Formats: sequence, C-alpha cells, structure tokens
Amino acid sequence: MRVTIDETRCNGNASCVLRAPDVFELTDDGAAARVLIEDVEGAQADLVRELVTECPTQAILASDK
Amino acid sequence: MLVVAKYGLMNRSLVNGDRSDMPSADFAALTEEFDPHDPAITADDLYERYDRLRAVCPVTRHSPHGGYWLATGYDEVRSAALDSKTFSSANGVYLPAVAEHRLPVLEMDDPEHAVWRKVLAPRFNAIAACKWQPRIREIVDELVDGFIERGQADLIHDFAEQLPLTLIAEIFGLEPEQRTQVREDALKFLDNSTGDAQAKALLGGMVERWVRLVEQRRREPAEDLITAVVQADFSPQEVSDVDIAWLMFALTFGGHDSTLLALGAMLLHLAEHPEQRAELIADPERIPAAVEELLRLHAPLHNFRRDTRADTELGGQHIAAGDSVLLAWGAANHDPAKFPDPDVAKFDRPNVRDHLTFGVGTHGCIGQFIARIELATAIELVLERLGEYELDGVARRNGLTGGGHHHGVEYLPVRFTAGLRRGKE
Repeated sequence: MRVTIDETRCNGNASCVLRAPDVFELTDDGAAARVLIEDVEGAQADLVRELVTECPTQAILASDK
Repeated sequence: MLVVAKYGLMNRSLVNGDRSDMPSADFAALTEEFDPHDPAITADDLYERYDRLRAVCPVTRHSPHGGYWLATGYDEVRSAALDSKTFSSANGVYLPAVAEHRLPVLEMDDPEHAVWRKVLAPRFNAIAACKWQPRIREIVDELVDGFIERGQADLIHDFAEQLPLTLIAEIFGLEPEQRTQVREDALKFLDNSTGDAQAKALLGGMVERWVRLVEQRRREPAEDLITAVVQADFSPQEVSDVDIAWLMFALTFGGHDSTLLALGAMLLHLAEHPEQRAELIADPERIPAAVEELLRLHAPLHNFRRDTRADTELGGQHIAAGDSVLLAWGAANHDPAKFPDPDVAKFDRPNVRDHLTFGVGTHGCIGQFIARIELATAIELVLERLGEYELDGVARRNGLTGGGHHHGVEYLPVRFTAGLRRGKE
C-alpha cells in the first residue's frame, strides 16, 4: 500500500507520528507530518488504514498498488 | 425536481432557498423554525428538533439572523467542514457575530489560518499532549482530594470546571487570579454572546488585560505558551498585540469551557447508566472508547457557522455565494444513517471515533488531544476513587446557551462513600 500526505491539508496534529513513528515524522518546524516509508504492508498497512480515518484533517492518502 | 429519495417525495422548491414561487406558510409547515438562541430549546428536545429537520432534509433554510442554512446530516456537515475553500470561516463562526475583532485561527481562512496554526501546532499536537499526561493525573487527584472526604460534591463546580482551568493556567503560565479571570471572562462571554453592544464592551476590557500580559512577557520572557506566541514568527503576516490578545482569549476560552461541558455530561451519563459505569470500572481499558462515544452523544459545542465563497450544493440544496451555513456538529453526531440507534451510548461502535465533536478538516479542534487525555484521566480516576457515586439531587442540563451553541450540564450534585486523600496535606 502506498502512503502519501496531502500537504495542503496537514496542519501538524501529529496523531500519525505518535502512533506510527516508523512511517511518519514531523517536519523540522514541527508544523506538519511527512512520510518516512512510502510502501507499507501487513500490520503497518493496517495501522495506516486506521490513521487515515483518524487524521483530524483527513490528510493521509493510502492507495493499494 | 425531487430531493434525494431518502428524504422522501418533496418538491425541491419547498425545501431549498428558492422561496419565490410559494407561500412562506408552506415552507414553514415543512421545516419548523430553528433558532439556536431560542430559550425554548431544552436539553430534552434539542435532538428531537434536529431529527425532525433532518428527516425533511439534511440542510434546511431558516429565517432568524438574516437567514441561514442549518446542516444536520452527518455527510453534509463533514463535507462542508472539509471544503474550507468554499465554506469560509473568515467572516465569523458565530451566528450572529459576537465580537468586532475576528477570533484568531477560528475566524481565519488558509493561507492566513495556516500561519497561526503552524505556530501553535507543536504546542498542542498529539505528541505534546502526551507530555501533559502525568501532570493531568496529579491535577485530577488533587481535585478529588478536595472533596473525597466529604462524601458529596458538585462534580461541575468542584471538578469538571477546575480541571481544564488548572491545566490551561499551567500551559499558558497564568497566576491564580488570572486563572479566575479566564473563567469570569468566559462566563461574561457566555451570558452576553448575542453580539450586542454590552457584550462587545465586556470583551474590550478582557482584551486590554491580555495586551498588558503580552507586553509583560515581551519584557520578561517565561517558559510558557504566552511567551512562545509573543516570540513566534508569523511572517509574512503582521500580528499585533491586540491580535495575540484575542488569540489568548480564544485559546483559554476554548481550552476550558468545552472540556468542562463534555466532562460534566460524561459524569452525569455514568451516574444515570450504572451498568455502563460498572463495565468501565471492571475494565478501565475501555475508557478511551467510552470517552469517544460520550463525546459523540453529548457534544459540548453544537455548531459553528461558515459563509460560502461561491455558489455550491449541499444536501441537495442550492446554496448561493455569501450564504451562511450553520454546521451542526451535535446534530450530525445523531444522524441515524451514520450512527444506528444514535441516541444510545454504545462503547463498542465500530465507528466510535467518527463523531464530529472536534470538527474535522483544517479547523479541527487544536486542543482535541489534550482534551481526550483530560477526559479519559478524569473518568478513570473518578471511577477508581468515587466508585458507584449517586445523584444527590436533580442535575441541571441546559439547552443551547452561550452564542446558541453550548450544551452541557450546569450542576451535578453527587454522593458517594467518603474516601481518603492521596496528597500529603
């Protein structure tokens, strides 16, 4: 599954960074998240699917390859 | 000319904004009037009113305050909130406006909004919120210590009000008397949030006090949020001390009043549903899900306004550019199409986190992570220490107050088996 962040939507709530620090990290100014691993599978993909729903700005995009 | 089938057979001109070809009485007969400031709205009939309107159409037209649309359907409220380009906050989010100065962040659109949010995000995000967790536990225990030996308490005045006030005072770096002032300002605002001249004068005095505090922090920086905002880089925007003062009001007000309303409603719900409370006492790991479900069931803030920047469609209605649309979070949370059996608390709903109590999208509540920790910690420790508390009199709930959108519990007298303090004194 491919993960990206819509930068126009993200405003740095960091719920994804908190729950999946292997997949997401905060930018240097701490004001937005970025993706560390673009391709995730298995348990990581399940977690990302949850985070897609949970993201307060609906900024995480996940698509099956 | 028919509205979407699920809302029944209905001539669209009767429910949309095009009222030129029909007598107004027909429109009124179909969709009853709704004014969020109506003192006749009670805690008991609020959701029934939403249900009746939503059953006609998820977006309905109403005449008070110069005319506005009320969105009560989940999908409609959510999609409008996510489309902040069309549904603008910049002209104000209260119906009608309560202050002449815009409330920073709440009443701004991107890209201006994003500049402010960027300054605040690192202080409020999910990671920063977790750092407050140990201190939140201490505050909750200290507050419970204050009444545990009595065997009775008003859980609003003695607890729900004190927890968020104590916490935001520490986050902002406020002295005890300034903390009291934050609550007094909030109560004045709530009593007067009708947009009249007296309310505006009260808010003016409040702003002067914050400006003095901003000037003081500029001279003597401290390790607190006020200093961080004073020193922040808002470029390319020019931000005045008055702007920061309004931000401080918005954050301190938003940072305590909604939390206390939500916590009060949760504590009352658990008093009235001892079987659900017993489940949580037996298995505290279920508390976070229970908090989400009770946030859905008892949203403390019921609506915010948006104004459309362009002609658009919402819920089958044609909304003209410049129209006001009230996004009724509280109504969306009770939409049976999204949450079956919506008036019943079910902690194991599969979509328990999909409620719109914190809004959604770019304007989603910045304090939601701190609020969730406060609420879950408060419930956990109250259940651990007060156990099966009982109502000790009649709890008082309000309809919609404070600008026509605050909903919660004002008085919650309880009794319980007196216990021991945990603190040293």
